[in-house]
Amino acid sequence: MNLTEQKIAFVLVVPLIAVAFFVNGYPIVQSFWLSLTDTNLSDLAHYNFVGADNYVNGLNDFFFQRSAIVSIRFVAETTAMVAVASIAIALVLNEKFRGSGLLKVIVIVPWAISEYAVGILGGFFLNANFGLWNGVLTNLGLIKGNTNWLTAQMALDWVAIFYTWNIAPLMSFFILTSLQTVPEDLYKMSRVDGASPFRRFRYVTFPFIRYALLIVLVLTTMAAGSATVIMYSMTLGGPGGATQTATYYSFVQFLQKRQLGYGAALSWYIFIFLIATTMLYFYLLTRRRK
Amino acid sequence: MVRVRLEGVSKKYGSFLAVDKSSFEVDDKEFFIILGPSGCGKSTTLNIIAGLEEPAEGKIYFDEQVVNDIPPEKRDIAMVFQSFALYPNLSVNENIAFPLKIRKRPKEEVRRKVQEAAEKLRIAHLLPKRPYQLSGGERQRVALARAIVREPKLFLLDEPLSNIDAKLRVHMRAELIALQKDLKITTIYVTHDQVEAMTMADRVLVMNQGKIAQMGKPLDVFRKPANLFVAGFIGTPPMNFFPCTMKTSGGKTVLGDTYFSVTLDPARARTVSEKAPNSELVLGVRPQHLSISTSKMDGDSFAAEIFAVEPLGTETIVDIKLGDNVYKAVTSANFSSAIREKVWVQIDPNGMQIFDKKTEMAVA
Amino acid sequence: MVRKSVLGAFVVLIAIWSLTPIYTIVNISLMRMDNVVHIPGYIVPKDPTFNQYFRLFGSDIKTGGVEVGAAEQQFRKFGQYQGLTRGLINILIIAPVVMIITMLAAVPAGYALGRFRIKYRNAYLGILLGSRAIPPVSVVIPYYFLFKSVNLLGNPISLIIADLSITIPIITWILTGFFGSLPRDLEKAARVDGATMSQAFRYAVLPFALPGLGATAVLAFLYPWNEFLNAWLLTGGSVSGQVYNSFMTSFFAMQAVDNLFASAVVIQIIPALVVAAILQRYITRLKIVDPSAVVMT
Repeated sequence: MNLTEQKIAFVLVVPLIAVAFFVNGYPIVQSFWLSLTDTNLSDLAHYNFVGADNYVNGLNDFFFQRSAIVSIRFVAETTAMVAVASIAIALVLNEKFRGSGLLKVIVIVPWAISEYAVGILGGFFLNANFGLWNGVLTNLGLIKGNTNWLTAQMALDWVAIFYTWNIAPLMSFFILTSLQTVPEDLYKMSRVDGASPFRRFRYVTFPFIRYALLIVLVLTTMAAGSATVIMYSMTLGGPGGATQTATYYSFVQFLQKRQLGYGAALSWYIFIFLIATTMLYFYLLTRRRK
Repeated sequence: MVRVRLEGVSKKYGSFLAVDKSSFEVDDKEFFIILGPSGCGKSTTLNIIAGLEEPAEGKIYFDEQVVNDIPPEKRDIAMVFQSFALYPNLSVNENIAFPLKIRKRPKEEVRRKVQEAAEKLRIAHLLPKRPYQLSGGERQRVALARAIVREPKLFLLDEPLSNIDAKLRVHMRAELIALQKDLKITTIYVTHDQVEAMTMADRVLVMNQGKIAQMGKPLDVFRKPANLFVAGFIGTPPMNFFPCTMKTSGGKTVLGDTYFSVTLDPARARTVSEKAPNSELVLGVRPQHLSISTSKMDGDSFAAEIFAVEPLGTETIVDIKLGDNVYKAVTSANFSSAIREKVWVQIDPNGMQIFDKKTEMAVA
Repeated sequence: MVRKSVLGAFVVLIAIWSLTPIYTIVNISLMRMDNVVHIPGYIVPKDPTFNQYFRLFGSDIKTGGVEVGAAEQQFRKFGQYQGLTRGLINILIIAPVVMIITMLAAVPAGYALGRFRIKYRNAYLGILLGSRAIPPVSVVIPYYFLFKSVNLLGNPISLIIADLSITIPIITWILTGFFGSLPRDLEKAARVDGATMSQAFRYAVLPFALPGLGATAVLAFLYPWNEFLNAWLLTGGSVSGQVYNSFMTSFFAMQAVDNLFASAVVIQIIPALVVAAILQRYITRLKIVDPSAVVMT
């Protein structure tokens, strides 16, 4: 590494990093400051410093507690579904067959669609009056008359399914990359040994996708834990708060109740929850090694 | 333990014919090596014998039984791969025990057999370790231990020595032969390394582009290559090929072209004219059968120019230039000469192999 | 044989899973409202028509037909359709601007981070990755606060800045891994041959990088095109500054005309389909999701 290269690199990189530092740092600092005040959207100039009040209120807020439970359920369902779906899709894409290139294009399509549009698609698909799901089930004779699927019991599951639909493709490509590192010989060996498909996955495939799966779990948790737009476009948080996740609730505080400070405090709880979950994953998936 | 017989076995990948109507038989307790360059179909053949791939046509027999429809795990075979194929998150102990555990053998038996196999390969001290903690040579031994632990009736080894360093490879060759003779298990061994084939095999099968090029005892194959491919593939440095024609004048038959000519004994000349009349020929001579001198020698000798000299210590390889072609000759270690120097070359008549240029088959 | 049919079944299942939701909305967008609400629903469009797509942009190829109801007249009267067209034009300007600025900033930085041994490299990378760790909702509130206090709400510049704050770090991150994975020998050879750093980049790196850079640029375009939260909050209040996504949501929140909404959404997702086809080949090479790719190269 000579001096000129170091200089050029410095010129190319440092300004951009400085900007990135600011755009990442500003919201963190600002949102933390806001969370300590009672700032209201209708009058930004006048606010009071309230200390930890917003955080204390958050803990006692029944609706926030409820939304936290909704969030945890949503994250758990989505993560489980994404893990299964992305591994299944990747295992299929890893096979050699005619049309596998086309299947790759088809698989990746849902990833390129915006979270907003995914929610709309979900709403249309399940629409109680004219949704395709009702149409198919009626035509198959499985249901009589149209059914409302987005009920308080099922709505969150359906949002999770459509969120999985949206993010599983990218995750599956990630798993696929790691699947391609599984040595061919090891597969052959396991067949000669007579290992069952389950054992083959456990002892041959899994060790090679384990790290990729960890990343998938982390990214999915981060994404699902902060998902907001899909709840807005698919169910508006309803019915009756059934799909109102913690992020959605903090968003509502901000947008409808105009309470910037309180909303910011709630988003800090979520942030901490996500970091804690991520660390748990790392612990669980790496402790075996030691 | 078992005789293996292939009858007209073919395998296609799309339009690529990987194995083309292969038929051969491996004797009981034999150490049988399939030799060939990469992509010649040797690994595919092994996979078909293992049941890992289905042949497009043809039958595979274990003794008198057709095994085409028997899955690999029921063929009572064991395999060793180039990459050793150890289960990465199992310990050495668990790796060796794996094939037994899957077959639900009693715990005590598993423990005893794993111990025996490990001791046989001198890796008992490695049992608690994991594959990533082992060196290449140690992994190799674990893979072998796992193969012998089940006492299968057939060993299939796919380039098992390619991934370990050169010094260890020489050592492992001897050890593998000893192990095979000790266990008396029929062994089919695939390699691209002709030295391995020469040193280890009871019989060797040379494959090229999906076809059997030649089969026989290693020394027979070396001394009497059936075609240009085998002649060029076996032996280091490789055999020299002189394009030539046969001419008869004044009762003397000579092989030669612009730059050289050698006299052919009458019996051989007759064989050549019977088998390949008026053909363009190729004269194959191993570098060991070319002698070089700075002065003209008695008998047929011809002039050439030194192109390069490669001293190896025990011997010296001399590259000579004849027209536009370069040939190799093995000389004694103390041969010394300058580049571009003119030398005289003589071909040992006992080391001549004559091939038909068009069919590439040996003629005499 | 069993294995093949199981695989075939999974292939079909995955294709259905991936395409059905898209099919459902295309299906609705091609039908008149009376057919849309028919029970049982039509799985294949009945009397398919592209009329909705024309109506979205203010013209009706079936003038005077049953489609022009009271709601329709209302939309026209208040110039709602022009709003949607306006939003489309706005995003078609904003997205390329975001893409170009992103690439101008990210290519040199990604190149330097990916190929040179720079001091504090891991710290820089950590800062870049930090942008992905914060939930979007946490970022939106401070940004809204910021732009409101400097009076830039409704101005496309606010949206461009907000989009760039996400795209530049992410694209730099991706390109760091990408440049790091390109072969280095030719570049070294060029330097030894006496090429300057920029010449070496131009002749020994760029030719290999171009397809990947194209794919990355497409990604940088897709982000603002798809982005909803910032678009809605930062430009939602302005008639002239609104982008397609934000106008669409406020428009159809008031007027539930499902087949029209469906066709508006189809227009929104068409670029996504194109992008998917383009990116499919690069998605593993670009290592869009793999944080380890950069640290390890």
